[in-house]
Amino acid sequence: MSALSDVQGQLSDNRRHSGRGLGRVLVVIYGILALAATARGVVQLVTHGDQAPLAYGLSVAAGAIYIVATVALALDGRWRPIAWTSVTIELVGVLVVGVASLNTPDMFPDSTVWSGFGKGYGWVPLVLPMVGMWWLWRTRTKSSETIEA
Amino acid sequence: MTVISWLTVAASLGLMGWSGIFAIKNRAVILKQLWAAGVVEGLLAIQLLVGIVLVNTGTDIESMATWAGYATVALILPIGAAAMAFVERTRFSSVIMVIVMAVIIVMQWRMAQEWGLL
Repeated sequence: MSALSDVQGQLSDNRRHSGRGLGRVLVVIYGILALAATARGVVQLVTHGDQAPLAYGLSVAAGAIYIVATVALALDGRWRPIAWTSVTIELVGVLVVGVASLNTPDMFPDSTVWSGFGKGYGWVPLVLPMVGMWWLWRTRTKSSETIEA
Repeated sequence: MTVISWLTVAASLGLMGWSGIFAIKNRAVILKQLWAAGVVEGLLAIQLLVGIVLVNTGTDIESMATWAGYATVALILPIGAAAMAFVERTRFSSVIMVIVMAVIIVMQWRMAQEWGLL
């Protein structure tokens, strides 16, 4: 009985862990975006940061948030609130910077990862936080089951 | 695009298709696919070495730091996909391999666009 319930428990845990199964695919995509945004932002800031400090600074900040989201999604558990926070910041960031880059292009002489709603990255920065939120919601622990356990 | 770029794209495309079939068939990445990922990694390493040799022999590469960033990130990707193949023994390791190979192809295209010689 205990062996069977152990297996069932493991399957249930796997389903609910944000960093396993489909969650690992999300973690990889977040990791790639984190690498791309951070590397690009750092290179731009170091080589010609004075040309568009706001844009390049935003790219580095976005990269840092993607790194936090990657780690939080992969680890889950006590990191889950941090995952929710970072994914929400990403969505707000891409929407605010997306609108600002279209309305006041003078503020963004060079593009950032969030400009034009992430157009330069195939709109992945716009779609990814929504997918991240959906996944965090789908893998949440239901309170009734927590009480039962 | 150079011969190395074309070879990298061809190898990545082949592994992407192979992994795609595995993902559809609900299968995890197998050892032979990791060897194929090793071939892609080898080609990316050769590309980086050629770039370093060209720079050291006087070829002027515009925005060297950006190019080095692209080449280094590309080099990390197959290693990451292989690591995931060990920890994720479901179809999602195949999905990850498909995504990583697609990203490498896009990066090769971007690198050819920005730095035609490399």
